[in-house]
Amino acid sequence: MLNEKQIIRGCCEGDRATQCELYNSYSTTMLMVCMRYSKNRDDAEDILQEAFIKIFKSIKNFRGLSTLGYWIKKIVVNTALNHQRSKLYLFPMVELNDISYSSGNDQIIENCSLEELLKMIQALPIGCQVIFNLYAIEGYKHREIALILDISPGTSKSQFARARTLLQQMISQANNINYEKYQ
Amino acid sequence: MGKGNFEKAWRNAFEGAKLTPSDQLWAGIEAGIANDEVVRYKRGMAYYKWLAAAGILLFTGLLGYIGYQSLSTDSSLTENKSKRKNVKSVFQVTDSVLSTTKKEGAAEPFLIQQEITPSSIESLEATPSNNQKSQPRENPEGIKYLTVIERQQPKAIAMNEEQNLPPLPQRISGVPIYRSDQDTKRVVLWAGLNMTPGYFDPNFQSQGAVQGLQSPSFAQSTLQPEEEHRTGFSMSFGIEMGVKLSDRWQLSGGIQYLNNNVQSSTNAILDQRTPIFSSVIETLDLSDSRANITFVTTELDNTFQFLSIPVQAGYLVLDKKVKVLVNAGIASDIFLKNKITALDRSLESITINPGPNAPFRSVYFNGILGAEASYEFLPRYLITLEPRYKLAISEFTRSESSYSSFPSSFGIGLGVKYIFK
Repeated sequence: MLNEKQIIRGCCEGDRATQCELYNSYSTTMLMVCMRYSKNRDDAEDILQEAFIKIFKSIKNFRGLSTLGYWIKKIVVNTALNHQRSKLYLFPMVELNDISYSSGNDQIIENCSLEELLKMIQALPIGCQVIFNLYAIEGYKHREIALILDISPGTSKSQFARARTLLQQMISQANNINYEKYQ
Repeated sequence: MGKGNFEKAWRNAFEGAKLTPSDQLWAGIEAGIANDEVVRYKRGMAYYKWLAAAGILLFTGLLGYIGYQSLSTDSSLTENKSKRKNVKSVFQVTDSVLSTTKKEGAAEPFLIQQEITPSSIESLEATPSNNQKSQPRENPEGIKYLTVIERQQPKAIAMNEEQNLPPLPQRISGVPIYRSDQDTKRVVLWAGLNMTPGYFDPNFQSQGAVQGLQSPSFAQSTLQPEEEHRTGFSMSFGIEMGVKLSDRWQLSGGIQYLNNNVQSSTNAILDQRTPIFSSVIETLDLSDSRANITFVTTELDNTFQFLSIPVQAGYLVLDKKVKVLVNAGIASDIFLKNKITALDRSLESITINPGPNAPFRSVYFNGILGAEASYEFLPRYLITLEPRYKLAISEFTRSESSYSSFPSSFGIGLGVKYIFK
């Protein structure tokens, strides 16, 4: 089992076995990331393939300023965003300066399986899907998302608000179905 | 606005979530890597193509010139041969004249060499025969031209006796040898070593704000990363070879190692160890919201290394003890390395190597204009002084880079040349 430094060195040298080891270490978690940004598995695998080619091509530029896992995830997310960029048209919906959510209305997602949650994200409109991923799961701020996607922070906020509402509805439906199932 | 429980719940749900990809995915990645390697190999071949093109250009020019020279020598040799043939005819004519003379005066036969003397030609004049109209002339120095005899009726000469003639001596006493100017011309080659101190200006179009910055980390900052570049010291070492094409024109080429320095500065440092800079911006991880940027002005030593292949044509303006030559040409500069180091060594140094990820082209082209003064301090050895200006005629940065650069440099070269004769 190679350590991270050995893996990086091997990949820089173009050693196929080491590249395969890096792929095996990160492909499963990164495929889930790709699934969140795409509508189906085929698209997700296309994104992952393109991302790993970029990773092996540019690993010699990795300077260790972050962890290797974070660096790989960043490339995967960027590749996914580029992949969706042509389809991505974000309506400058309502310019929202601030939104407050009442946590009392939040649906509990613990009753839903990971597969169900993934399907819910994939069911969102593409703009909402991307912004929900970036804001809620990746942890970016609306200001940062605005810079990444070249939109206004207000558009990011309104898209996220819509995503949140749609997801609440989907969770509510799923909870009802699950509840009925166990009745 | 902070993130609520709803967002945290989603984040936790997907934290470390895994899904196994299909078996074909790795095969696709392998194919992609292999394809990428082929593309990289082809790009790498471009270096050698340019090198080969420059080499072939120089070699062909040299070969063509040598070929032209040898052709000229051949034609002058042919001319000499025909002259010699005429001389043989003279021997025969003279021989027959002497035979007649022998019969008439019963004199002893002379050696041919002795016979073809100005005095014997005079005797020819004194004893005209029916088929010989010798009209020896004198040049201002009193030497008689044998070509006058050529005017005699050559048809009457028994050429079949040519076989029996003794081999023609290399030099015949009394026969002046006239050579054309081309006979004295030889291929003049020279080789030299030189070093050129000077200055280098990268002409980066990125003065002021750092280009290509898309990080959210600077969105609300009043301070923005800025950089500055100032002309720096440059030094080159090289070898050169040249050939004289004519009295005035010459062609030269060579190879030079260039070390060009630029005094740069930036006011933004990432994680207190990496300078934020246009040429490295694409390699930095700035989109991380946790990126730790410090705004402090840091002076940097920004060094570019190149391998340069110049090809120049020169015109000799002054051809005295001191020669003055005006040179113009092009140089292919092959990018070797760019190293950025803080002058106070407080930051980690960054090295940019040529390749598809570098913001610079692997090869770019320059126009050269210079004037060379040389002095022959020893036979065949010249010392040279050459002020030279070089300006990029193609962009040094890649088209996809966020800024452009057309470097220029000026230096005064000092060198030594050896002339092969």
